[in-house]
Amino acid sequence: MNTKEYLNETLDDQTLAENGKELKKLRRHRDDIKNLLLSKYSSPNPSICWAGSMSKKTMISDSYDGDLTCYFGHDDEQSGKTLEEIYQSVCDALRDDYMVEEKPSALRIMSDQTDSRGQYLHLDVVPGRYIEGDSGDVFLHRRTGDKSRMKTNLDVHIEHIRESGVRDAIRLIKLWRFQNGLIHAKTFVVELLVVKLLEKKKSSSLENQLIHVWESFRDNSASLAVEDPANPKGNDLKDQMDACRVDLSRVARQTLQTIEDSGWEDVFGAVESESENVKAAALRVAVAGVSVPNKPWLPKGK
Amino acid sequence: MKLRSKNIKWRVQRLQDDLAESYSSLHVFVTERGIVQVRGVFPVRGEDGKILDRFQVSIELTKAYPQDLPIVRETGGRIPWIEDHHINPDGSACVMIPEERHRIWPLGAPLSRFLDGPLRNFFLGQMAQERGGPWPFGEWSHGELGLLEFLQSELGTGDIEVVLRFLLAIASSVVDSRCQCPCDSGKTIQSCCKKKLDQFRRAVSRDRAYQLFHWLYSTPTAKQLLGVSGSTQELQIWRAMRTDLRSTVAMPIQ
Repeated sequence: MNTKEYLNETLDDQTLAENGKELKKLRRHRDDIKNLLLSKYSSPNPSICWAGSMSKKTMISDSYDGDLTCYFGHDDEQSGKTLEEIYQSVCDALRDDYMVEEKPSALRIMSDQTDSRGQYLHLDVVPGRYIEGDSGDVFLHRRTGDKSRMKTNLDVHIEHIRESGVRDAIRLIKLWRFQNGLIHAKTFVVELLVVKLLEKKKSSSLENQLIHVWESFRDNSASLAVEDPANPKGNDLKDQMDACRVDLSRVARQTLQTIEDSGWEDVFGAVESESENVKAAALRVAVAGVSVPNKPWLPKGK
Repeated sequence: MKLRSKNIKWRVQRLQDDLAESYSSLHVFVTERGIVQVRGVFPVRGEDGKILDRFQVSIELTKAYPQDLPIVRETGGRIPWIEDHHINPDGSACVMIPEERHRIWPLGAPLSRFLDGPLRNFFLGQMAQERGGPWPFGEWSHGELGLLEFLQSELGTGDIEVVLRFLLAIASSVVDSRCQCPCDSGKTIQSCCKKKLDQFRRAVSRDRAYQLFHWLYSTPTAKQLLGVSGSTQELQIWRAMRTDLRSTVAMPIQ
């Protein structure tokens, strides 16, 4: 398998089946939340739709959560007059049925449902209010930071990523970020970085695109900067960039070295090629070769 | 403050050097609170060095590291956070009984040895579990019962009374080697299990021994195990705890 095939296989591996049980579960969860919110705010209905990777089509199966908007009309005051009141009202509405964690702009709902991996599904609801006019611009409440509100535009974000022409590279860099524990690099920032770095590399092969992104992370970490396309001058992403530039550079350096030393499979892992019997046999051999075994335990008894 | 920051930098550098060769997919990070974390992909290698499987992990080295074991979390969402998989409710994995480390990952050994040994074994076990098989090296029962099993295994005895006497000896501040040996051989400690007892006193803290001893004498499960129910006997033991080691260790349990 050459690198191109390998990367395509990896992407396929990371794609959630449209009618698979994972997406069905997430959609069901979304519908429950949507119905709850619509029962609380009915005239007029707020705009509740997918945001995040689901809408941008950059989801990866190793790490996926849902993001839902809950945007109220400019004149709609049923949830409150100020952005903070709106945020709090939606939070209270959700708290009736769910455990809610308050994030800087979003409300994270901790579902009691688990996915096939046994992990609890997370869904973030982002309350906001449309700015006058039909630009689609929205103000969100900010609980932390210098500013108490943030202007954004979901349609602009979606278009920026969807129409970037580099969605495959974005998905693989997201996978790389996730696998390497780069939790301080916000997904949103990483997506914008990839789009910017590949602006003139859209026609390059996926392999070259990834190498270019990592080389840029490695060599130009101090000058890496991104702008929020929905509010280029208003939303300063410098702090978010500063929080991750050193780590991005260090891990990118290591990744490039890994590719040189051992090839691509050590970056994203092997794609399923061996039969279950072969894998089980290799496991048995590995177990038999252990000279100092140890048993797992749990401090608290049942 | 400067000294602490210098110390963390030194620790990070040492860790990076240690991991560089075999674990290049694991990276060292320092959190805002100064906690050192190793995050990334943990490769489970087969006997031929080929990667059999990969698990995403976060390994936290607390301020008490290396005295305390690293806190391992599987972050890829592959292992359910349930007791049967030996994962605590907060997602941390219980790779081994801490008291066992003297045998498998002694104090002072580098982190890579923990990864090569106990952690690899733990993930081999998880892989076997995923295939519906049993834990390849067995598993300890949860909680104190697991600790009791561990001590029985280390002592090579199923006799809980012998374990109790060892626990008393471990929990005591001073051990007189001229005392009767806790293994009930009739010999003195000096001429019998001194080496074993010294090893236990290094591996099991006095608090832990005391805690386990208390558990053995205060829970219904343990009483069932011991086959005792009378409070008189319990009282005798506790009184004995307060006397000197000579009478404690030599004291007949029945």
